[in-house]
Amino acid sequence: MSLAWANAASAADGISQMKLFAYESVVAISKQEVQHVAKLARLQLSQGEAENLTTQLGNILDHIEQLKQLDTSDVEPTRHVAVEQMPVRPDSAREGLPQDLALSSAARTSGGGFAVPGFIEE
Amino acid sequence: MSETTVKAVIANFRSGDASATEMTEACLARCEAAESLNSLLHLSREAALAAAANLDDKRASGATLGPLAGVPIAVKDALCTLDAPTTAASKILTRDGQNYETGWRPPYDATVVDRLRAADAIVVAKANMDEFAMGSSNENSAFGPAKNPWDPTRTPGGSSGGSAASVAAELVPASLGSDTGGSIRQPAAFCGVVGVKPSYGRVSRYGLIAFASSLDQVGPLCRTVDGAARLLEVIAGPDTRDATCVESPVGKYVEACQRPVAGLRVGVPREYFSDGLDESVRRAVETSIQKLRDDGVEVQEVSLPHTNYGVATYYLIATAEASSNLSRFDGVRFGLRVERQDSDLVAMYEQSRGQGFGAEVKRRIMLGTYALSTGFYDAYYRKAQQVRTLIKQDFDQVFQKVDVLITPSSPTPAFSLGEKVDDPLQMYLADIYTLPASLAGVCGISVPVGFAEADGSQLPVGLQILAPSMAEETLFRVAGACERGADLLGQTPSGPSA
Repeated sequence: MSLAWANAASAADGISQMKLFAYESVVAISKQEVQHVAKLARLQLSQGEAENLTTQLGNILDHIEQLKQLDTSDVEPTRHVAVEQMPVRPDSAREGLPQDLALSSAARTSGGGFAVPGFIEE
Repeated sequence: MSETTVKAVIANFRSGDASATEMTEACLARCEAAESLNSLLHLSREAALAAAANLDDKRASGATLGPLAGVPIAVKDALCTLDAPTTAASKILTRDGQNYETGWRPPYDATVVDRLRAADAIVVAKANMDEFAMGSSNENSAFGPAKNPWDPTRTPGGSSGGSAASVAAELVPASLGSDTGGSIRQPAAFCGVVGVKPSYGRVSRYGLIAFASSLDQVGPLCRTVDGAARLLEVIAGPDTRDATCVESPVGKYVEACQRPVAGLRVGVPREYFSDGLDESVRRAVETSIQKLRDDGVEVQEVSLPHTNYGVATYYLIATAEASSNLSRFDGVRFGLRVERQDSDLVAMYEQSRGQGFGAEVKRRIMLGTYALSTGFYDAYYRKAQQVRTLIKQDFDQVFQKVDVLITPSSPTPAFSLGEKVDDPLQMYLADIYTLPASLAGVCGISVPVGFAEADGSQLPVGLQILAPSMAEETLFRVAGACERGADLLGQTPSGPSA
């Protein structure tokens, strides 16, 4: 049995009273999806973490479902709130971060670069 | 302890009543004595005393002093400082994946830190926070929770919990925090201090470890509105190193604090005063609004109809941006690297990130990645951006009728440590009053206006003022009036207890 917070009132009534219901998540995220997303995000999860996340993300996505109540067919997405156009600067060279400083925090360096293990094309 | 406002510290230093070295020593001693609060992760003892000594020489030489000369300041550990570790309260920014002392050393100061130093302020400490600014209680820090000086069994709020607690406990007169969805305003309210979220684009984000790039802003926390105004005047303004920092000229915020408010129009949005609002918070805020009426302000009820879509919208946009921003923490160039004999590159990424990130950070990265992934992008991320437009329009429309909005900063006073950690969604819902303003990019301030009683503790209540983007002068004008009306400056927590 999974527990989830849910809105008890509609949007027009202002801040909803949050009530606790016991029911199956309406929007479940499956364990396979969680594993897939973890792979995309390059996150190694333990068995326990994956299980918790499956439940928690399901609950959060449940809450997010309410956005479907809104008709946004004619609404432009907001990508940024203050920036109307990208500011430009003169095309002249400036001091950058020196290479040795840039490498100074790395675990392993080699030949003036960051050393990493090899990888296999999947 | 009444001489701990920013204004008083500046005056004491300029008059010669105290040397920077004395004040810095005293500050460091207070910080050390309050270790149990865990509001600070690092004290930059040597660097601060060196800066203080230089400043004393500067004063002796008769050179012009900067506007914050002598003021000791703590900065949130999400801000890059040359002379101190910078970890964003995460193990992934430590070399050994464990100890703060092995924390990443930035090769530069954040712009806001540069500006504080140029103003002759003394950066003394790095403040505790929720990991990568993700949280509302400072319980997500990899280095232990910070505690609320008013009641150490309670949270100071988050994510700038350490910044708020250190100011409330009078360890420092001022601190810098960051606010993405309420992370300055809410802890300011919980700790009974003033906290400002500037308009998006008002303050440079260069050197702020990014959480959500279209929402993050750096801002000041102080015991007084005047102090916050002094800090904002110093840190605000365009920066060639941050393309999202707009050209709008920095206003006269200190002066604005004293301007009379008669004739200003205040809007009280009904959605922020309905179910779920604690009675004592409501009373404190309404008392404050009544005092503004006495000052000649015109108050009217307004509506921001898309308010309660704020949590859903924010937790799609912010997490999507975070999943992108936090992809740089991969063990390659800095921070924790987990690399075994048999590691290939992908294993190194997965293990470094798996071990280095805390639970909340992983949750948000997962949610954000999901929202952006093929097949879900339109239904989630793009949809959220459209709702963001609706939320912003609510504010645009309402600001045609009123000059500022007044709301509670939080539905409740500070909650107990451990109370909400097991239910992430419940923690998210606590930010309902601060999230919409972040989505709209407007400016906001939390001002302490009273107290709530809970289990025998007196807990501060914060009132939030919201003004249109780039209208910080109006914000400070109303904030000054609220502060004078509340008349709380004499009240401080009894002191940090074990």
